[in-house]
Amino acid sequence: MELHGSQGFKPGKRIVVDPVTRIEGHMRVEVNVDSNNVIRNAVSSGTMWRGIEIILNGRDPRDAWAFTERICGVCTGTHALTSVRAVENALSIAIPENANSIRNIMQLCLQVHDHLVHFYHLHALDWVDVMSALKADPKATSALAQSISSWPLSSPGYFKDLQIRLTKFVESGQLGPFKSGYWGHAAYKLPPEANLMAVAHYLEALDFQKDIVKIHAIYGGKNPHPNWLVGGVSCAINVDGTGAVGAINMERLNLVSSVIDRCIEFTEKVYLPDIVTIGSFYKNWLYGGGLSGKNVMAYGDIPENANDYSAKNLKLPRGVIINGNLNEVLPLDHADPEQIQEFVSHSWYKYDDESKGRHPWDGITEPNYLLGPNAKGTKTDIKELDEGGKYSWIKAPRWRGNAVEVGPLARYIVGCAQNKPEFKEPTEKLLKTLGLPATALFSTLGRTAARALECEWAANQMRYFQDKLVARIKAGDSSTANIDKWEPESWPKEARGYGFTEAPRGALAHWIKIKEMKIDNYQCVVPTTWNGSPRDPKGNIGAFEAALMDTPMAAPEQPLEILRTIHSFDPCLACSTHVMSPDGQEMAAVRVR
Amino acid sequence: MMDAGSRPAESELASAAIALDAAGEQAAARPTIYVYEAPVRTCHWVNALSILVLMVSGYLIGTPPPMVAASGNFVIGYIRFAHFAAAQVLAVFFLVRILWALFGNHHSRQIFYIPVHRKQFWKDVLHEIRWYAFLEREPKIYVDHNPLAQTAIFTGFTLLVPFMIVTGFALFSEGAGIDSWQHELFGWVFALWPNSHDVHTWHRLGMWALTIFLMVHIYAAVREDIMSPQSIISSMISGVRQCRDNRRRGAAPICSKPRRVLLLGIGNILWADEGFGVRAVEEFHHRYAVPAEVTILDGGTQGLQLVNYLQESHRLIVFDAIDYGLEPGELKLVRDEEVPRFTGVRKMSLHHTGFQEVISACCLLGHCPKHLVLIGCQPLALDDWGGPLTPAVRNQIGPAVELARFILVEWGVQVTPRITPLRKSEWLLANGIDHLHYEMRART
Repeated sequence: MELHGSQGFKPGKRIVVDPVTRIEGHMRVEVNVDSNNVIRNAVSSGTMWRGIEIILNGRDPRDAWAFTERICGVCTGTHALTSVRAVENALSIAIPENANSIRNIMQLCLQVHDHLVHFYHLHALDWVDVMSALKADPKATSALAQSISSWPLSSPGYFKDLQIRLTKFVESGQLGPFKSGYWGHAAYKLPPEANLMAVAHYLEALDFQKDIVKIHAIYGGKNPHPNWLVGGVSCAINVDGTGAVGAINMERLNLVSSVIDRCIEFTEKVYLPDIVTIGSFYKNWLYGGGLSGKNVMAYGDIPENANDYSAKNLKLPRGVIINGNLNEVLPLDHADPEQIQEFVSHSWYKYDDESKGRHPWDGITEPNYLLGPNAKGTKTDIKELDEGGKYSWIKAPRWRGNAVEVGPLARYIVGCAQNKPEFKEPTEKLLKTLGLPATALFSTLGRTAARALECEWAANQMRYFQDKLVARIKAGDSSTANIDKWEPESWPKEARGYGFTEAPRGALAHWIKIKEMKIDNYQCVVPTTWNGSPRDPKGNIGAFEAALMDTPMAAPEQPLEILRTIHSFDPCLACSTHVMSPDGQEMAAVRVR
Repeated sequence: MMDAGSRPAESELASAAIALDAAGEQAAARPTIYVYEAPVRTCHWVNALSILVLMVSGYLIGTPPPMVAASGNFVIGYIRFAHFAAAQVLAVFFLVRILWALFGNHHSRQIFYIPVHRKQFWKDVLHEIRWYAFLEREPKIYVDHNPLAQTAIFTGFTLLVPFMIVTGFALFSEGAGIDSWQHELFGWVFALWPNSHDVHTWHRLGMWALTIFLMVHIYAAVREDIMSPQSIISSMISGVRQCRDNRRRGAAPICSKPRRVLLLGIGNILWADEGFGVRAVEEFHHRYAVPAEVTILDGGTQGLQLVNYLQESHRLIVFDAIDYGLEPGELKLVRDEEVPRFTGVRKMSLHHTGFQEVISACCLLGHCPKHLVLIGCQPLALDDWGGPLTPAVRNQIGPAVELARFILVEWGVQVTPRITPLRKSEWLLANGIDHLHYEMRART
């Protein structure tokens, strides 16, 4: 982190945060603050470069999922699902109902796992001061924990024991995951007891997340890197089989069921109460809303019935809200060349006409690494970016020319605007508990809360689809795949399609063109491309940049507030981009997962 | 990853790590050890039955139920008969058991001594106490009785039963008469306690002690049958101890070799030399077969999802692309404490933060592999998206695999070269992302 003077684009001190720690992948944020240390200009840049399209050209479309699964270590399954949906869409392949249920369970499982891990492992430490937990009184902590939840791990002895372990861990000098924190920062508001409770739940979540992924191991055949299949799912169902490895039998189904029950219990008794507790101490810190109060977009996901991706069949909401008009949710179409377009006027790529955007089916990815005239430093060692020129490896996707925010908060806003009770009621209940108005939702805290609400929703939906699956199996339906069009000879000469999902961190879509049985063009527009996008030709700023605006900083040299807001998006840049460092220096600072 | 395999097809006896039958189903091996020989089992159950009869009848003799007095009612007589008969059966079978300890296998001798002089024994006793008190997460594996059980059986059975036999026969001799063989053999007891009522009291106290032992014994047997990784109750019927480890699907049984090893490759195969770790573990799998206690894992760029695998492992080998500022293609082997120390000082791997967090998460949760080996290779190109490994790095895959084999052999793991190539279904990476297909198309 460095402090720079203004470079002239906007007044005030320039602060460079590079890299933003504790998040997936590598990104850089530069802000200008005024004399009161309030952020007046924000610039977010992904310093990596996306190139899956280059890798996939000429390959077998049925293998695309295996490649996209490798883009990122966190979103593995959701990329694979999006990919098989894109191929199925292009080749008009219908999948069986059981495959739909199993895919939904796997997607929801990823949702629950990612939300839990993101909150406890990455984001909670922006709100929770671990070092302060060492000063907590275990008895008072126990009283606090028991007052908010019936979760059994709440005795004074439990917290005392944990505090001793934590002290030893800290004294060993091996801080590990707690290394990069700004402990003692004025922006931390929780009392020591709440901090200790949160740290306890941090460890419990770390332990519990190991069990959640068992669902992927069962339905995906293995974990990490579960198996997927164009036309269905790769696992076979054989409830009469005994002891066979690979096929899903009753024992496996029961194991999944018990993990689901524990997910529901953990989110209801630990995650949500923690959000309420943390929220109650940060009620006055309602910054970071950014685009959420204006433009949000959700693709929708979790089809109730197989093969129907229309808004009414999707359990997660679908639609776009523009200019804060919550009374109108606009329909969206992935195939319409006028709707989703990617711009590169401020990105390090080349188009013939950069004032226009390109629909992903016609997308091109041609690097063009140029710094703007006001940039400081050199190409290999940038001190300050020039947001007037090209400044990011992330393209700028827009919906009908509008920058939008995607993610759990966007999904909840769309769901509430559509008056869907399963989204509206829990949201209103949470706001009422905290005594906050509906507009408080449009904030960093709102983003964090929506993620927790969605986690609970997803855990309960897993239960729904698991029951549905078991009921169908009991009725004698064990079909999990449709292989009618498995052989490429049965495909048309040319085809194109798209697949979309709601990844934990937002709307994700892949566009594919197939020619002569091979991939002709493949484009992924990932959630962090939407949220972390740079400016477009019209000067619209992206969701990260918008969310940082007008946030006061307690101590600019310790940019906790910036981390807090950026983290609340659950960014995944390794996912959207790729290391591009001419001299190898930056590479060492990149975290790849 | 590789599952615990056991029924290799005939042609692949030497090499198959995953054995599938014609239907593609896989049998899980559960190693068994013959522990309790027939005389031991017979003695166990006969003695158990006798003790049960003795306890009930003895209790009733000492505390007779209220009954209509006098003639025609011989209930106490029957109870006494049962007591004496069972006592003689117990005495005989206890002797048989002692004799068998002289002739049987070494397991049959275990209940007759406590190795008081062995420090490790007492450490293990402590561990077992903690395990029974739910203070330990992982049980230790014993083919025999565990040390705590050994101590309990030694005191509660081997010492207590002779005491009961001696005092019982002494009491019996009062009725049998001074010229009976019982008095001849056990009359000396009255030299210790001249008042025969004292002998009665001690005999009865012994019964209560046996009752406590019995309760603990049955609780522990049932509990361990459920919670420990070996069979308990069925072993006393079949004589065979079965090792099962159901904690993770596909996990190898851990009885015969409790030291689990994880061979892990990490990195992103899409980023040229970044894929070194995954390609190395893939190549190892193609070259060598390893026993079931070794897990071969393509970790990709996974973070916390690897925590399970690390926690279950006692020893860990990681292949990874590292940045030590070496010449591209240079191999570096780092061991144990050096691994975390280096990560703290210098960013040595592109995802060292991710992997270091996995390690520190394991430490936080209290289970980290005891032995760590990192086999790293300095990359040349990382920004060649979708490109092949550079020749300098590709040439190091072979040496890295051999290094890993060397370490495994050092750890006592049997590493067998594969004679027949792996079938496609056994590959670590498939669907066009195996090394050969990935690079073949990358070059076109």
